Amino acid sequence: MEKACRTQNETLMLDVLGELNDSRMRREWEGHLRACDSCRRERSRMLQLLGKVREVGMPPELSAAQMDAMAGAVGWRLRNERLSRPQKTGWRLRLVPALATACALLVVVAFGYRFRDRWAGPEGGGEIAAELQAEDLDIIKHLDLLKDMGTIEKLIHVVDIDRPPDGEAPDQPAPETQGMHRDDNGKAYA
Amino acid sequence: MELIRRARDNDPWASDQLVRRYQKKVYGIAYQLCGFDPEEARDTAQEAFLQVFRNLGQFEGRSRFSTWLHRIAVNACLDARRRRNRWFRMILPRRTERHDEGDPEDPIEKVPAPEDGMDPVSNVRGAELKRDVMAALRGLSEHQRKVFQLKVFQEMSIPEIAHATGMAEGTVKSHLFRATQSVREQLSQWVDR
Repeated sequence: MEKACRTQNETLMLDVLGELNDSRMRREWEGHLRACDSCRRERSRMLQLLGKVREVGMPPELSAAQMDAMAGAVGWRLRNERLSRPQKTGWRLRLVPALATACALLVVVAFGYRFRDRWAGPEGGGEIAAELQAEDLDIIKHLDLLKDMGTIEKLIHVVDIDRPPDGEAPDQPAPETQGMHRDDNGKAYA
Repeated sequence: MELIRRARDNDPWASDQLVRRYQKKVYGIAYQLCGFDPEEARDTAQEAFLQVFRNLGQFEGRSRFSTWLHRIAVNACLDARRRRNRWFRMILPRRTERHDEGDPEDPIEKVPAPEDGMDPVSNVRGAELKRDVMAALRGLSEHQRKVFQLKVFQEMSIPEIAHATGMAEGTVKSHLFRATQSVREQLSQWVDR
């Protein structure tokens, strides 16, 4: 495939697309075409190609029935549009939905206001919940202290088992300390 | 002009006459801008006529009615095409890809049986050319294709295309050059024969 001169490519395009309007550019281009065989041939090919593309773009003939159908459909839609136009542009049509929406909103707000207590839950329920919450918080706050208290309680329990109640002879050792003896300092050993 | 005045005054007979007088022209525009699909072109032509009648009040008679109608019809077809592309992109992205690729069926399969006196070879060659032109146009970007179609089929000037598409003239020129070069390369076998 022979190509046109690179420098003339844009001018060639403008020419074949019918956009070479500048008279000086056109004169120069025509002078170049007389001298350049490859540009002349490329121009001819481009025109031929665009002609073929236009040929493909030629629409098929509309049949009489298709023409009638199109005219009928356009007429029908025009009639429908004209019939519905006064309603569409009427101020009443815009005002009525606006008023209806406002009324609906008003009813919803009034209803909500009227039954606000019922939706807040059973009577006093809120206070009980608050009390329970405070109690829980108190337990969490004193958790360490409660743990310490538990340890102390266990310690007392162990000490109480070792020491017999007043007035009672230690006939038998407690089950936990069986086989154990105490030294002078009171420490237990096996 | 009398027909236009009567159509503007909602005279159904005048509207019908205007449609019948210009339907081939509007259908042709729609056919060329809607991917050579006759059915879609008929629907788009109807939409274009509705736009024409909706805007008839704005026609002042400063230009020829056919020029004004051409402009409205081109804009209506471009709008219809934009809407369709947007719809396909939004709802059916996969379908859009296929749509952009064009009809998967070979157009040669659709070649009608030649009528009496018609050369079957030229009939097949015509179908082949159509297939190749459609493939070449599908190879262009949306902007390139639009600009190329408006130039080649509607014979609009660069400023007119810029006005119709809302692009700058330089952008139109650039798209047009690239599109023409691409089509030239794609269809080289048809010009070198």
